[in-house]
Amino acid sequence: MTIHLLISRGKASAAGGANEGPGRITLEILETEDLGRGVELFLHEVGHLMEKVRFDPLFEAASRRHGLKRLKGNQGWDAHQLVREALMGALVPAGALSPYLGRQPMDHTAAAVKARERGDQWYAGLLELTGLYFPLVSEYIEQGRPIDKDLLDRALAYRLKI
Amino acid sequence: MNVTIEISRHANLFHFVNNLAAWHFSCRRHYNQAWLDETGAWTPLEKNALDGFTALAREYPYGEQWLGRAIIPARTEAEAHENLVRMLGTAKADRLWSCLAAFEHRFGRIWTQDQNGLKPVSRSSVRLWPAARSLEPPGSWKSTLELISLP
Repeated sequence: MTIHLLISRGKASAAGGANEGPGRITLEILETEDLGRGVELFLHEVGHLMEKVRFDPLFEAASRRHGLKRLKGNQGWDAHQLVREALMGALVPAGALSPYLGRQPMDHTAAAVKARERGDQWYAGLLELTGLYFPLVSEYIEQGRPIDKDLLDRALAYRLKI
Repeated sequence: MNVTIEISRHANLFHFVNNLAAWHFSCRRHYNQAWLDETGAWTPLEKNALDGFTALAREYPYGEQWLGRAIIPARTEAEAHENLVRMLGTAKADRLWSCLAAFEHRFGRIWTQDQNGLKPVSRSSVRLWPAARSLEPPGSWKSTLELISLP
């Protein structure tokens, strides 16, 4: 696994990406004090890299059942992409896994309100959906259950609330 | 899992211009505002370069053909350019390279200070990744990745 370190700006603004191909992630961290979040971002992005093995076939099937790919965003996320990102976000960073790393989950609803206030509509939408998935993903983590058809069907039932 | 951390100027120049172009909703606006505050308003040359970059980024967006796959993993600038030529052909590769070159001066001012921030992050993280790896189930990141990825 190669981490490409990239510059960022602002306190607690560390971010990541998994667009550079297999075995590579980018982390945007400029302050050592953001390294705790950096570890969570690392897990989030590695999770994306590992989706292909098991998650993708399950998710593609669920997406077809629920017609997710027909729901296109005008400027931001398409639904298919948004749900995938929100599920991973409900794990880490600041999600259901965070307490096991000695860190706190965020209040996604409050964070979404703040994001909307500063005009980050795409991020606000992601936070709102992540917040809805948080209890569901927490339940699976506590029970040690792998992601399955039932979790995805329950997650996609939330689409009426988006 | 072995973790290697890489810091390169060309990857960061690409990241800088890609974010400044703001061609995708996930580009981080607060970075751009901060970078502009630190280095001043656009020049006409830079504005043209951003338009050129945006056109290419939309043609080769995030996914298998993403431009960043040619540049960010490359070990040297020369390798990045060779990768781009292979991916885009010479004309488009040179066009993209010119777009990046238009920001050399502005980026240079940012990079002079920021590379000194990335190096301590890299050094400190060398201590963190083994710590993260050593966490044991239940509830470890390892078990979580297994939940996500294993049959």
